[in-house]
Amino acid sequence: MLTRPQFDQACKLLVQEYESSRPSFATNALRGWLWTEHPSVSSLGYLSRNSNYLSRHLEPFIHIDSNDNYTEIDEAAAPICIDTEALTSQQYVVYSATFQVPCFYFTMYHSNGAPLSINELLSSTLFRPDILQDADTTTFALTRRNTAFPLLSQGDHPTTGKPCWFLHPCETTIVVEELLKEVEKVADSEDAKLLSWLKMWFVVLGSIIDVA
Amino acid sequence: MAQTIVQFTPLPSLTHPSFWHKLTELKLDVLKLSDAEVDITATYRVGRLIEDRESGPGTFVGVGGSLGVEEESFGLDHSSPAIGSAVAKGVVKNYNTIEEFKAADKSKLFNEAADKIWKSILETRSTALLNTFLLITYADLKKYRYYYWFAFPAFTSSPAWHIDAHPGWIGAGTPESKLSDQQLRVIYDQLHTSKQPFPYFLIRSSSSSAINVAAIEDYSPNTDTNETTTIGFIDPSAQPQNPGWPLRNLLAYFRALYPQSTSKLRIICWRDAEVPRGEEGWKSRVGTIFLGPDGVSADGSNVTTRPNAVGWEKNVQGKLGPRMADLAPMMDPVRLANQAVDLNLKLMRWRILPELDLEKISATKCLLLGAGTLGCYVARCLMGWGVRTISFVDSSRVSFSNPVRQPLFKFEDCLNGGRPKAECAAERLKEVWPGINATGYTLSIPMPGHPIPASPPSVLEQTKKDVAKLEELIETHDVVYLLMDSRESRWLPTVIARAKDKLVMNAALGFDSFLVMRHGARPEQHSVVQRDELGGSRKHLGCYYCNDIVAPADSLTDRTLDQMCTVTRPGLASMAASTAVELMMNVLQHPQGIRAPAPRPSVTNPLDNQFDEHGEGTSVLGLIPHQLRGYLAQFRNLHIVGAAYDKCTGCSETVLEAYESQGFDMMLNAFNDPKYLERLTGLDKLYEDGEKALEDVDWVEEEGGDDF
Repeated sequence: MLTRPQFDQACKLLVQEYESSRPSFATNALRGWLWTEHPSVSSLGYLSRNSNYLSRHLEPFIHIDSNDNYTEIDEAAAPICIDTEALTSQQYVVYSATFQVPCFYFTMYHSNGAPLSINELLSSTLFRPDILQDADTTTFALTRRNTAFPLLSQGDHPTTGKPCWFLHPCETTIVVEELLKEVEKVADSEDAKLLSWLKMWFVVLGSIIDVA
Repeated sequence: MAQTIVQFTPLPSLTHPSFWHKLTELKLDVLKLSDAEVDITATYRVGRLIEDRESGPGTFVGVGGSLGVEEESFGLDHSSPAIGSAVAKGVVKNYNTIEEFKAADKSKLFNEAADKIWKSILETRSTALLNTFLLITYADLKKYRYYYWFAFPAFTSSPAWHIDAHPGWIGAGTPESKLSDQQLRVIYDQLHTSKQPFPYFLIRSSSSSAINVAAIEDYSPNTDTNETTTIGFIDPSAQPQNPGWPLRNLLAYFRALYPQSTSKLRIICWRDAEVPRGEEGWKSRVGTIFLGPDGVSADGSNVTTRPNAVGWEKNVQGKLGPRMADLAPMMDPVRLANQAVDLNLKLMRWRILPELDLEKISATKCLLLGAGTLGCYVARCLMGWGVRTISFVDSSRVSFSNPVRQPLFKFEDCLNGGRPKAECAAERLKEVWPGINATGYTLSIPMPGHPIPASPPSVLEQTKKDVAKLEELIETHDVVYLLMDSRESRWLPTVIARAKDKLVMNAALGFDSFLVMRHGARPEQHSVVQRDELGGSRKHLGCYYCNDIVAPADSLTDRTLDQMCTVTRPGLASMAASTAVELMMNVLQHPQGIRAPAPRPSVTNPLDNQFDEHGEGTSVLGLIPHQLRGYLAQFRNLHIVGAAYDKCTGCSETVLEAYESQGFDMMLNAFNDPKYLERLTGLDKLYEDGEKALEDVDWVEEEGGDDF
């Protein structure tokens, strides 16, 4: 659990630490975040950044009969790849006042501005491939598996009010604190503890989402 | 040395959903029907490489910095972009109809935009408009669809620019690039700290260490040479051997203003948004390009005529044509509701039961015969499961006692004689969830023991129509719910549904008890009739009438009020209705569906209402009993299995074959002649035999009278 001021502090420490560090695969998830505050109300700050993901599912081609068949002859245009599409994702780490933990909000949309549907989200590279059972291969096994899939929900961003997807934070605290028990040293300063808490939260998040 | 034509990476567009929202707002509030050009700004940034895991580890795909527009694009001042980004000015022209959009004179618009750029080069010598763009749109506000087409006019060069294939474009900061890491840092700092953004810039190195970033407008052909000056631009391309689109107009600028001294140029494609750390090098690329394959330019005349321009964006198929963004899922409230309902159900599958087949459930079309207490509760429970198609059949109207117990009706539905229940219920369902496909049919289901009067002939005609309609409805749905308030009204749908192999869910209420059952299925023609130790009862399940030895008859005339309205404890209806729906879900999850056998009693605990939860007659959701009888006084459910009876008036082969061969005539006999079904099935003989056996019994009477 973190209080609001602790969350703010942890986020600012994170941004600071990774602003000037070298990029590496291990720290990809922690870099590139910006701390933003609400323009007039305090205590509504959050982390944000943009990310790109790939998808093989392209936007549907809508045939529009043009009255003129437009052509351009241009030998100096490089060929473009049309197999994969780059998806843009805006990601936020927001404070959940109800659960007193950070909460991951995001949007994802195609390059034409259309937001992704649930199915498209699942087949993008945003979610780790192994956490979701393939629904088409239903078997009639009766053993119930403990899936780790988080509660994906829709809601409005608490500060900007924009509609987003988010991962419900109800079980976060338990998991993060379990993991922290293994690594925390009592002698750490308050700041160091806050930063570890947030980093551990990112680790847990990273097991579900590819926070690239 | 081989020379190749320099090929520029086309600039992709990126539209943020907020851009469409803002455009909609603008159209509704300001533009209305005007298609005047509106000034907007866009930003583009250096490209990135992201890992394409599907193609194998270590494969990277260049994600070009796209030209992005969003809500803020409509603002008048774009905040100063960060290093590695550039701002471009443009216009958007919104048409009012799709016809106008299609008919727009694309060449004219494009040429006007290109002319504007050319004019600004020649007259103002400024680079301010070199990266302008054009956007035409049509917003279909009913369907929330946005048709659009971007154009980034770029002047072609004739002859084309070439570069030596070896070394081609090389990384900045390498020894061959003649720009050291130190120098690049200086350039970075100057770009970073400059007060105004530099989408294009000059890099002058006066001596080996001093390096200066300057504006393109400062170029002087006398002092700037390829040895001293490198031409730079913010490059959105991520391809190693292809510079980005914005370079083309910069080159045209030089060719127009300084034709004598610019047939060979040293270029730096600036691709660094931050100083590299560690071993990774600078991403920027350096190269020397020249006009024509042999570096000899044309005679330099006619530089003031505007060159040809290209630059309409290609669509998803790689062809020249407009694109479309469908924002209905995000903006259409009905779609939003559908999405939310869907998400809710999917969570059940993701979190708890991955094997749950939700698509099967939502695609199952349910026909509810009876829109009363049971009908209303069943419908709501089905909607909770995401079932998309629900049809009601009922012959009556909403009466004043209904709304309190039938949750789809309101007080106002009782007024003026009362609205027809079936249609009213369907309407109410849509008010709860607009995405539901709900329909109501007012029709009477004819019943055995209720003769159809011979005259007037219109009555018979109507009955025929009603029967035909009922047959059609049963045919077009997957599951039939029998939710009526009488025994005999269930007969006709039982027969038809069995003939058409549809699942029948039957629910009936007593005062404080209920029955919920699924009818057995007609054995498949070529199936081997298997009999287990209980005479095959678990596999060939019976129907509502299997335990009757008399045909359904008129039970309605001469009933008292409480018998007619089936007075029940109010809580009972929702329990029975929910049980019926949940039982159906269990059936649907079984691979044999309608033919799922009933579960076996548990081996360890056969007597205490315990069942083998992993054997036959079970699914991912649990047991699939044949019949459940609920006793509210004891809060208890009993599981019952009833075998199919070969003389049943509802489901025996005799009856079905008669129905299939004689159709309506057979049914009419059943309605009009109370003894017809008994004769047909042979129940009458059974009855006679029974009577006879009773008479034959020699009741032995003890002599001596009673003992007490």
